[in-house]
Amino acid sequence: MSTSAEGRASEALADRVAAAGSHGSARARLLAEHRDDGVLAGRWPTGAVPGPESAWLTLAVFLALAPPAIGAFGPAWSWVVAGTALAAVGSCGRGWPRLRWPVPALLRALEYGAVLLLAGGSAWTYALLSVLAFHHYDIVYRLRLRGEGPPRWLGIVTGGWLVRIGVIAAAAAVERAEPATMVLSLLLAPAYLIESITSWIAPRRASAGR
Amino acid sequence: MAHRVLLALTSSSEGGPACLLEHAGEPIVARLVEQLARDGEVTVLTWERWTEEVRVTCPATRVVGVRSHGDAIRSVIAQHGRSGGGDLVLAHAHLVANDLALGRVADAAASGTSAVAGPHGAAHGTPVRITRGRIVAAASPHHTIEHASGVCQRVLRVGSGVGIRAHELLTELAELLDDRSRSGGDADGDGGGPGGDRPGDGSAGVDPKDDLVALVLVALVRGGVPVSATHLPAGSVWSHPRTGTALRQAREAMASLDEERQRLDAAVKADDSFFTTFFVSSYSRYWARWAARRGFTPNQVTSVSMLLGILAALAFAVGTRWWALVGAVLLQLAFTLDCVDGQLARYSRRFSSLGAWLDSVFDRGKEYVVYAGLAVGAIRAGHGAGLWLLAGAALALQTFRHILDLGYAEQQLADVDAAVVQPLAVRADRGPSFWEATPEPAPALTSIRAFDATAAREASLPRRVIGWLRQAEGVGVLRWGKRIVVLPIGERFALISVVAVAAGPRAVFVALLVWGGVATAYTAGGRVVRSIA
Repeated sequence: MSTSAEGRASEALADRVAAAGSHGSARARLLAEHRDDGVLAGRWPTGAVPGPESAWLTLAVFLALAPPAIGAFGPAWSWVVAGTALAAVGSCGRGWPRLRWPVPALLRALEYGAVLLLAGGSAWTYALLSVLAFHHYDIVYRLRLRGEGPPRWLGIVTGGWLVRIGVIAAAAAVERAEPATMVLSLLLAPAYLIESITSWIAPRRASAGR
Repeated sequence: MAHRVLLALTSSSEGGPACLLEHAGEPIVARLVEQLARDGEVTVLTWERWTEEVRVTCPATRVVGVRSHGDAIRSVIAQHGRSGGGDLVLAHAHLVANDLALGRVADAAASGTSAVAGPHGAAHGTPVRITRGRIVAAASPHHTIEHASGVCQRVLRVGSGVGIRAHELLTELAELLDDRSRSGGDADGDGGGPGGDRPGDGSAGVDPKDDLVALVLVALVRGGVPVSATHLPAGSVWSHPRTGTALRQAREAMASLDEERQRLDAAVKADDSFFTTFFVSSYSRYWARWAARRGFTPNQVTSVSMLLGILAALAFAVGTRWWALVGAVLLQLAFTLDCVDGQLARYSRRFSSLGAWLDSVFDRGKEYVVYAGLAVGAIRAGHGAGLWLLAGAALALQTFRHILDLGYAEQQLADVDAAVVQPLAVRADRGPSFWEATPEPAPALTSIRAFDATAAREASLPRRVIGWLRQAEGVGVLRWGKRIVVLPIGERFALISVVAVAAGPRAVFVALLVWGGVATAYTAGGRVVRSIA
């Protein structure tokens, strides 16, 4: 092999590693968009907490859901608040690269679990969970199929997981969790549905391609 | 506008261009150009000394003469530029293939960057390693790879989205080939080299040193362009004949092929779950064909399926056993149509990202509206205490599982992206990282053994467990068992229908929660072990 080819190749490699690096972080950014952080969560510098983010979140989900589920020690909302606070801090964890994948699902578990525990079983609870599930599937499939998630304003307007859990927990603390699920369902459903449908019927390039 | 570039560089056994071999008065290249010209413009690249002969055979096609391999690559770039940077399909001009097989990469519905891939050990093609449907390493006369899991069957499609990147990479490739030919070249084209066909009688294939498709594939893959592996439908005719006899055999195979049958079989997804494969796809493909003939679109079928799901939920909501039976039948019907829409899309080759989104969202919509119907039914029947809570828990668990799966898939793509980039001038490939090697179920037993040997060398326990699990995948019963354990949609809908009629709504939710819980622990546990192994 000639030396000139080697030299050129190593230069080209440097370019390519740079390109792939930015591509890789683009994918990492997509993974971050799955989290539906919205307005409050994810505002702190990441790396503030040691250890993998998913380990903190697992602990947070357990703390938020297990004691109220078995009906132990005080009102459910206080446990959910404590667990959610831990999740909020834990989501600033360094995020071990290989364990990033469970993070969005753990955030869903925390939110859906909190809704069920605090508001109990009712048609409105089920309605709220359906609305949230629609939104979360919508995020995932839009990222997969078109490479871009919902616009930022939607996350700000609808709060993100941390704000939504906060609202439910506050309502539960004053024993108004059930009406809160009704109000949230009626507010969130049109926002998510209308934004999603308009984005899908709007003409745009066919696919982000993968 | 799509552009097709055919490489007429390989010689026949008698010495002339292989693409001019004739059977029944029709040269190979004439048929191929006719097949490809339906969906785009065709250019033939050939050695300067063959230009006249090829031009006489294909009077209506642009024929460009080249002097060297580097020259040929630069011509490919130029032709791509002429087409305004649209999709580019690169193939050898002496390819004999049936329409359906060729359409997989070349027709108007194909998109993105992909290469035709065959199973590991297939007679003709250059070795590639495939992970999660992505080609992550490829061999050529100048490049070797480890742990091949398939072959590239020498047709490549470059999507319009990567046009500029592809030009940079091909320019680099052309310079590399110029250097190699100036320094005497290390691709001697003995036919048995790492990038070439397995030693055979030379009656078919591509001269390794002329296999520019393989070289372009290596350039794209090592440059970090995501290239997906397109598999040919079963029974395809796909051959690169270099003798009259080989050509005759290929044409005879093509004449005896029932392409309509093949098209219908190919519309069925290969890796579906047990219930879907044996209890739905066996007849849903005929519904798909019927729908195609009546001119229905996949999105119409998806919408009817959603409507049936809502009707099923209403039937369940009545709260009597007879209506539950009606609901169960409607739900199964909705699920069948849910398979039909995908099969119809593949059969009629109508794909859209809107269709994919609609399909996914309506799948979930159907399931969750049926949960609500079951809860309402139980409450109306007077035994509904805590039913909304159970329904909500079932919905939460199912959504959690999906998001977990999708997050895992997303992370693997990100990891593959980071792993593939390598310099083009280096001969040997870096080999698979463990992470990259685990996820793809090995398509052939040989590569499972190869994997097992690696796993045995690395003595850590989690890795050995993964090795055993992978070996178990090769055994049919276990493979189906594993697919059923994770409770995919077909099994889930069947479970809902049967339990709703037999034991009522409460039992449905308990069954979904228990089975779903076990499945989550099984899947997520295995993946966490893999992630930290």
